[in-house]
Amino acid sequence: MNRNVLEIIDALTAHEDKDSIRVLEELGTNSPDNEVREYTSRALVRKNVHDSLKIVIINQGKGINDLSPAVAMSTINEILALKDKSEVVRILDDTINLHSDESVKENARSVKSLLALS
Amino acid sequence: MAKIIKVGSQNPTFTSTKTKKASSIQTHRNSNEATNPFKFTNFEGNTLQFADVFEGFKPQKTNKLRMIAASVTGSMSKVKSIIPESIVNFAKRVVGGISQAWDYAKSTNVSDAILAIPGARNINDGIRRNVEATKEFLNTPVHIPGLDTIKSQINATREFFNTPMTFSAFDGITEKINNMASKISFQGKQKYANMSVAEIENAWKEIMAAEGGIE
Repeated sequence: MNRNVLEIIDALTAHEDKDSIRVLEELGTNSPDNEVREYTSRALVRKNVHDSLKIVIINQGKGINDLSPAVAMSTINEILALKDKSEVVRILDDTINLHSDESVKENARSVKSLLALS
Repeated sequence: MAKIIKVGSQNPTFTSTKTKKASSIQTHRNSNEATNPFKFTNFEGNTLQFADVFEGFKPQKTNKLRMIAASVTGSMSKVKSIIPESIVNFAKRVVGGISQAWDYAKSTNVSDAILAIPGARNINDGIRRNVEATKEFLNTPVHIPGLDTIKSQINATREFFNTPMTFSAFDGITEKINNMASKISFQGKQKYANMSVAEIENAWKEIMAAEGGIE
């Protein structure tokens, strides 16, 4: 992974502007590079806000629903490492109850089970 | 050896001769019984009629050792006549050579003999010089530059390990490490930290375009 991309993702993670989440979603989670998608998903989880967590939980093909197992597992590990898991649990419950895609609901249910065990 | 066998008592020929002589003497004594001095003399009533039968026939006591030596000498003389003269001379020369070597060894000093070897004197002088140098080195007081410093450092290290370790020594280290890590992280972000999100987005797009990600 390009070192400049790594520094850009870190800068966007630390940025207070909410537009940083949009940039991370558009450029990072849609990157063809698995490492960029993985690093971006972890950055969105570390932000630990509703908009950033929603991207990696309810979107098909992103975050915990990524087709790359490495990206999905890395995102799940980052979620499990959060100190404040209240927002994550809330989003997971909404996803399990309201989401239309069964596979997304299944992934959300698995992550919630892991959170309960951790 | 034939002479020895003749003198010995195991020779059957001698035994038969002895018997023949005894029988002739006995016959002679029987004819002259009056010559027996013990004929009418009793030892407690027992008559020794033939006490002097073998008187005058005493076996000649011959020195057997002398006879054996004589026979051996005779054998040696025969052997000497058989051995070629050259071997005898050779043995004489060997014996003479040994005696000469023994005389030389007795009369010669060992150190002189060693020094007679070519180059031995030089080796001896070299060893003597080395021994003298070693003696001088051992008698000279040793002075190593910086030895006092090394000793003081060793003592300081020893005192350090003998001092009970407390966690107060680590106070502030964790904070310093965290500050250094934050500085390093800040230096990594510094390039894009002061940029707006739009500028960062443009920079990212440029990088992706350069890598062929975005046209």
